[in-house]
Amino acid sequence: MKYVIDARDLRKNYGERKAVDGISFVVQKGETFGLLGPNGAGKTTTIRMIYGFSPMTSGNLMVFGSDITKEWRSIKNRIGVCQQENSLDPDLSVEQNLEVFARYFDIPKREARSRTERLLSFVSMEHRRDDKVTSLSGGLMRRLVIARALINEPDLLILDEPTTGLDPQSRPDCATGW
Amino acid sequence: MIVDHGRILVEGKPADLIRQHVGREVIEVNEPSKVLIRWVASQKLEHEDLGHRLIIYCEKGESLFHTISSTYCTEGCDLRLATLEDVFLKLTGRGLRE
Repeated sequence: MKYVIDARDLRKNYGERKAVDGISFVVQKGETFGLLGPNGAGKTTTIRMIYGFSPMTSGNLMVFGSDITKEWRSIKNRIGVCQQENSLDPDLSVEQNLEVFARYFDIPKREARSRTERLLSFVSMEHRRDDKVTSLSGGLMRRLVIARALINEPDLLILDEPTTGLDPQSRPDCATGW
Repeated sequence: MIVDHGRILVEGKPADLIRQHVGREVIEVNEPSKVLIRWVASQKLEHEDLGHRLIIYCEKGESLFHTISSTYCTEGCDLRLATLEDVFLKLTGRGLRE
């Protein structure tokens, strides 16, 4: 595998509108790659194609050396995603959100427990473990989404606007903590 | 990498992009006078006139900053290091989108 992400001429059209209009880039192992642009520039659309959420209109996209259109299932297993919107399960507690998510990756129960413990401590939310996520502040929800993105110990971590709503104390950790 | 309208504008390491597109330092002047704006233009300094704010891009801003702050500046001005945000705003403009 030469690159973690190898994107060639990615395109995504929504009807007449060209949301992504021919973007090519590579990301190497160990690299932190930042995608910047104004609102509506095509950032989220681009990264949604990388984690197999949104099919591309055309282009060539290899992740971990595999074709995303064919091997999306095994690729998704190795990716952690922190979406722009907080997509936590409102019916579950903080702790359950992590444990249940771990089960989606077929992580055994005991291992799921120990990872949940580690991640709760990583985002300093042990004391909120039994709270419903609906009772959390926006910033704490964000921290939980980041923790959840790490539950499968991903080889590629995709963060869409990860620092939105985080206080300055949380931000350095977010960038360097893992 | 900075994108806009679904296309790549620039790609590179943050420090390189800052150096290539804005230089090392930035002087920001609040409520700049017409005299200052004319002077900056006459000195052929790279700048952006935003009406209530004047932004001057430079390599070594210190002596220029002293000249501006002592001679032309009434409403406050700052000398700071250029950041990726300067590159972003310079390349993608300052208007709101959508």
